Formats: sequence, C-alpha cells, structure tokens
Amino acid sequence: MESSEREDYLEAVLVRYLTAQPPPSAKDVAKDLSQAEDTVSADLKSLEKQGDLVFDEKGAISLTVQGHTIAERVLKKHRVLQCFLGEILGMEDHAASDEACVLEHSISDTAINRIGDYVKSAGLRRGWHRGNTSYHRIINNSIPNPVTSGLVPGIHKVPPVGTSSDPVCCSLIDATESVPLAVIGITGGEYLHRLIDLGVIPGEVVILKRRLHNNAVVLQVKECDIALSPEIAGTILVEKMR
Amino acid sequence: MKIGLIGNPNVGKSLIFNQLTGLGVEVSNYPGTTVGLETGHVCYQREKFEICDLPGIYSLDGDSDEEKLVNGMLERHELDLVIAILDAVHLERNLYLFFQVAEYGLPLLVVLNMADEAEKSGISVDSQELSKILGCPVIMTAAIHGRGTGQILPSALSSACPATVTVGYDHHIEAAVRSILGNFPVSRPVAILSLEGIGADQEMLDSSAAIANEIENRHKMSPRQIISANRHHFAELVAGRVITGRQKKPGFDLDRLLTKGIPGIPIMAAILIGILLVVFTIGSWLEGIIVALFTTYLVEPLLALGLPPLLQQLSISVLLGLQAGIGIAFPFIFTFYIFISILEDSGYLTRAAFLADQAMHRIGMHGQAIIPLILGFGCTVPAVMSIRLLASRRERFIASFLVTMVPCSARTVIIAGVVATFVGIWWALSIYLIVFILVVLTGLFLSRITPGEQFGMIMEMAPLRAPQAANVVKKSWRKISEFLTIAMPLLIISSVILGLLQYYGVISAFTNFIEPFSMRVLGIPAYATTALMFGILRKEMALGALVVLAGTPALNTVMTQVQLYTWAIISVLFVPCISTIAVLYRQMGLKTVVLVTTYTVILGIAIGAGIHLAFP
Repeated sequence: MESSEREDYLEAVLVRYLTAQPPPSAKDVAKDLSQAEDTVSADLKSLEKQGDLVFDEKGAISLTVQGHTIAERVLKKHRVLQCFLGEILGMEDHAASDEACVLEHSISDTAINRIGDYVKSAGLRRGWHRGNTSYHRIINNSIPNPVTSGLVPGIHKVPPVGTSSDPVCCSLIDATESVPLAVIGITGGEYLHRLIDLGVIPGEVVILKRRLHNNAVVLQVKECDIALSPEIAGTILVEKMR
Repeated sequence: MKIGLIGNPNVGKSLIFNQLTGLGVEVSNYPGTTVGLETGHVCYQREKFEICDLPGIYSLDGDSDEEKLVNGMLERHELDLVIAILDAVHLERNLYLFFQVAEYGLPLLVVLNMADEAEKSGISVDSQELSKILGCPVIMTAAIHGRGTGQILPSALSSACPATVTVGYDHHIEAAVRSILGNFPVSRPVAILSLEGIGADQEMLDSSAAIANEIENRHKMSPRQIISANRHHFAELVAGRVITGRQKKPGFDLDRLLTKGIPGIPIMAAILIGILLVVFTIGSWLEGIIVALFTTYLVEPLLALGLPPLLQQLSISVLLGLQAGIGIAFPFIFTFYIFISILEDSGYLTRAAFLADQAMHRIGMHGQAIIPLILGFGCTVPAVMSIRLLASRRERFIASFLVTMVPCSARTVIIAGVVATFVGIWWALSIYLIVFILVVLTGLFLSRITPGEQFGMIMEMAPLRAPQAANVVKKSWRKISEFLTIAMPLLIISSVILGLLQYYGVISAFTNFIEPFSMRVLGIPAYATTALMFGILRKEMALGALVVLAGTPALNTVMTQVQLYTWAIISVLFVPCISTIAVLYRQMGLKTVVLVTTYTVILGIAIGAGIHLAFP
C-alpha cells in the first residue's frame, strides 16, 4: 500500500471520529472514500498489523497513538490547503477539497506552516476570526485523539503523552511551603505579562513563603516577595526541585 | 533640558526626586493626569533643569496607564536624559526594566540606590564592573541617608551617555525585528514592542503578528515570553558578574508574624484602631486650640470692627472657610498622615493588603483596596485619590462608593461631639457598626451588579524598613499641602456662598420649606436638617451650624436623644463633602459622582427615616 493511501485511510477514520459518535467500521470508511468495501477491509487489516489502528470484536476501528499522529498531521494539512485554495484563492469548495486531498500527501511541513501562517494573518485582516468556519478549523489546530482524550472508550488505553501525572507537578496553591520550586508554566491570561515582568517565567526557581487558608500566597521570586490572589496563584504550575 | 527618573516601584525614586529638587525650589504638581507625573525644576550651575518623577513600573510592555505614559515619553524622545534608579539589593529584577529602557538610546545615568541596605545584607555590587558592562556611568547612593545623591546631577550632566549593552535575543526574534525594521520606519524598541503585540500602527501590528505567529508555532512560546526570558536571563548573568556575597537572611523574620492569619489579623486590627484613637485624641485637642485662637484673634476683632453687614458677612464667611480647612487639616488629617506615612514607609500596608485579600474578595475588590479604605478614616479626599492604585475600573467604581462611606475624621468629630457626649459612648460605637454593615452590604451588592472582569492581586511586598522621622514628616507635609490646595479654595468659596444665602434669608426660607419633611419623615427639627446642608461644605461644619441654629451648645436641651442619634447618623452617611465630590469627579467622571452622591443621600435619608419609624 502506498503511503498516500495509508494516510487517506487514517484521515478518514479520524474525520469519522470527529464528526460522528459511533466508532466507524470498515464499511463506513469505504463509503467515505467511495471504494469497494472488501479492498478497504483488507487494507485496514494490514494497517492494524502495522500498529496504526485496532479493530474490536464488533469491527469498530480505533486509532492508536501512532495512527492518530499520522492522521492528525494529514488532516491539518488538508484543512490549511482547503482554506487557502477556497477562501484565499477563491476556488469552489469541493474543488478545493479535492485538490487538497491530492496535495496533502506530498507537501512539506515547512511549506504547509508558511501557508498556514499566511492564511492566519490574512484571515485576521479580513475579520474571519469573527465567524468563518474553515478559518476557525485551522486556527484551533489541535485535534483531540478520540482514544487518549477519553472521548471514546477505546480499546487501547494509552497514557496521555506529555501531561505527566507525576504528583510533584502542581499549581502553586497545592505546592509545599518553604522549598525551592521550579516554575513550569502559567495558564493565566490578562495578568500574564505582569507575572513575566516580575520574573515568574518557566524555569525560574521560586519559593512559596506563605499560604493563607484562602489560598492567597506570598511567593519569593528573584529575592523579592510578591503577594498573589488565589485565582492567580492557581494558574502558576510548579514542580518540586529534585 | 528635561531629565526623567525611571525605575521599579519602591526603589526610592520619589525620595531622590525630592532631594534633587530639594528645598526652596518649586515642585509643581500636575493634577488631572491619571497617573500623577510630577515635575520639578532645579538650578545647577546657572542652568535650569526640569526633572520628572515618572511612575514606578516593572516593564515598558504592559498596558497600564503608567507603562504607556513612560513608554510614550521614551518613544517620542521627550526626555533629554534618563536617570535609571536601580535597587542594589534586587539588582537582577531591576536590570530587567533597565535593559528595556536602554534600547531607546537616550543618554543614561545608572543610580544604584539602597547601597546601605545591600551592605547590611552582605551584598556588594561592583559598580565599576557594572558600568563597564552597561556602557554608561553608574553611581552608588543611599538616598534614605542622603548619601551620594549630591553626585547624581553633576555625574548625569558630565558623563551620561547611551548604554552600549544590548540583550542578545533569540535569533528568530532578531530576524523578526530586522524584518520589521526593513518594512517600517520605526526604532528598534518600537519594533520589539510590536512583535509583542503592542503599538499604535495597525499595519505594522498585523505584519508583526504574522511573524509572531510563526515564531510561536516553532518555539511553542510567544515572542513576548521569549523576549522577557532573554532579558531575565541576561539580567541574571549581569547581576551574577557584579554581585559578590550572598544575601544574608535575618535570623528573625517579622513577616512570619505579620502575614499569618493569627496573629497577623489581630495585629492589623490593633494597629488600625490604635491609630484612629490616637489621631482622634490628639486631633480634638489641637482643634480646640485652633478654633479658640481663630475666635479670639480673628473672628472677635472682626466683629468688633463694626463693618457694614454685607461686608461683615462676607469676611466672616472667608474666615469660617479658613478655619474649617485649618481646623480639620492640621489636627486630624496631618496627624493621621503621619501615622499613615509611618505605615507606608515601613511597608506594613502591603502586609495588611495581603491579609485583607480574602475579605475584600467578598465585596468585589482585592487586597490592595484596603489601602483607600484605611486612608478614608483620615480624610476621604486623599482616599479617593488613592483608588487609582486599583487595577480595574470595576474595582475603582466599587471603591468610590465604599471609600466615601467610611467615616472620615470630620465625621468622627460629629459622632463624638453629638452621640458620645449626649447619648452615650456605646451608641457612638454603634454608628461605626451600622456604617460598617452598610459598607459590607453595599460592597456585596455592587460586586454582584458591577460589570467588568475581576483582576487578581499581584503586589510586590517590599521588605520591612524602619521609617525615617524626617521623611515621614516631609511626606505628610507634601500630602497635606496637596489636600490644602484642592480643598481650601473650595471651602472658602462655598463658605462665602452659604454666608450670602444666609444673609439674603435663603437659609431661613429653606428651613421653613423643609419643615414638614424634616419632622414627619426624619423626626428631627427643621433647623437640624438645615444644619445638615452645611455638612456638604465640610462634614464637621454641620455640627457647628447645628449649635448656632439651635442657639445653644447644650443640644440635649433642645433635641431628644433619638433625634440627636438620627441626626448624627444621617450626617455621617449622606452626601460626601464638596471636596470629595470634586476629587471624585476628577478621578472617576461625572456619572460615578452622581451615582455615589445620589446613593449616599438616599441611604442617609432611608436610615434616618428608618430610625424615626422604629422609635417615633
């Protein structure tokens, strides 16, 4: 099987997941790609052998982490290209989609990133962020993995990658007093820049000097004491220094 | 030639400003600007220099009024020379702002202040090495003891030069800056800011945003984060090279006590109540003396002159206005300011704000809002001025209401003079309790209905310091003169207007007019309601007017205890005084003034009527 075919299959499964609730079967995929069901079935079986997806006993397909990664990359490329061809260059919707289906397999990551940036800034200027769906789809470019994000009760429960369940990482509210802590990140909004100015940046070592029972805290950063409200303290993620 | 003082909050900028502009030189205040830019002039070697004390900021890329003001002045090259004041103890954090300022390429002098504190805590800063790294002159000072500040101006004029130091930004950032500079005719710092999404030119912001997006995709960090991280790391590097010795931790940390619920909150209550009691005792004693002096040496001789009636009325009104101002300003407000300045200089207020954060949350504000409320016990005018330190308009709006409701020292005089004297001390305290409950209820209500988002508190707690007597007195003096310049003219003008109204019989006509309302709704005599009107001028004057209109200082012989209590509580609650209205208008605009005034009038009348209903 060619790599473009493999990508098409995985993408189709992912799109199914994102649009319809019941996990897709080989028949659904065949219908979406308008191909014969038995060829598709055979191809999907071989993809299962490669570790891209898994069939359950009822014939429903779930993507593995490996399969999802591939599918996500292709789908993102597809969306960017479709938006570029359709919205910017003005091609008709289905023509843009068909063209994107071909181009998505060969275009390089660098080129797609550049096009994506161009579309985003052009869209911003044209006010698309106020309600252009194909634009929104490429702005919100994270596509959840139906299995690992728990949207679908998958067969292969894989621990989510990247988010560590290690108990040493927590928000400032739950951190231990008087020990050095490393800032991992801030999930906050408006006041982010003030925290940055004061030196609360990822990697900085800070000490929690005091926490009141309402979770207002005094934080020592760069030898200075800073008082923070609970809602701000809660957005600062820290990790105990080892 | 215009010289600007730039630095973080709490590095001793204002102290240095005062020492530079010094005694006998004109320090002008530009009220009306929201961010209090102070300028003063100084003559040095027969040349006149204008010195600006810019508001304390942590960086130039924020969106607060202070940051925009400083940024704008640097960008438009409104300053000919910049004196950057850095805290030697917290050099690393202070360098962060300095690097940003240095990018504007203005001639710079670095003043390393708090050299004494650095020494005490075991840090030594190699100022020559620092000067070599930064590429501009560096001098050490300890402004609190006046050490080294004499050198600031001579060094600035003789050797200040643009700093040669540049922060090495990530190469993607550098490339982006080059690309912006190639397309738009702006300076490097402006290009960097636009990469962070700050600026006025929409076209440049759009194209910067596109580049910023690309960088963010690649680094998983926004340019703003990358740029600040670069600056912080560079600051760390530079600080590491010039600082020797490690900061010694004091064996006993007072903060251990002050920032803990127990005993912090009891200590806070004790400090505040103690201050109020002391101010009140000293204040009433001094006020008695001042009023007696005025009466003996000015009012009586004037009456003895036998001037024509209109002229006499006018001159008496002017004297009364003066007496009102001085009689309240010095005994109460000045005394109060001395204590507040001690609290401010020691750094205690920020501890109080931290402890109060939870309670303040309930009424829609944050810990910092306790500072205006505390100030409100002294005088509402400076308390209203201080609400600008609150972060959001929502908080300032809520604070406008609550601060005007806090009994200021003038209202304390009424409570003590009427209720404590004729009704009983516990009844007097009950008024405080009622006001407290009303403040809390108002806060709860306003926090529900006021639109706008709630910002959290991010407040630096400066280390505790022992306040210096001379600085405390000077600071209090500056504040009281600020009060006098705002309130005094208003007091005299309104006193004259009231005097004229009295002269032409408008007051007695008003008394007749208000009679039915006064007796039926509030249950107090009409002349007492008229006296309340004088409270608009100055709260405490209502008491004086009541005595005059009742014809006797023994108020309990003409009014019942319930009437006196009702009268006192109405005068405490209703309508902020004229000076408050003026300053509130300046800070918050017409709408808020009208709302606050209407609300307090309705509240005062409602409570008065309520008492009358309950105890007819």
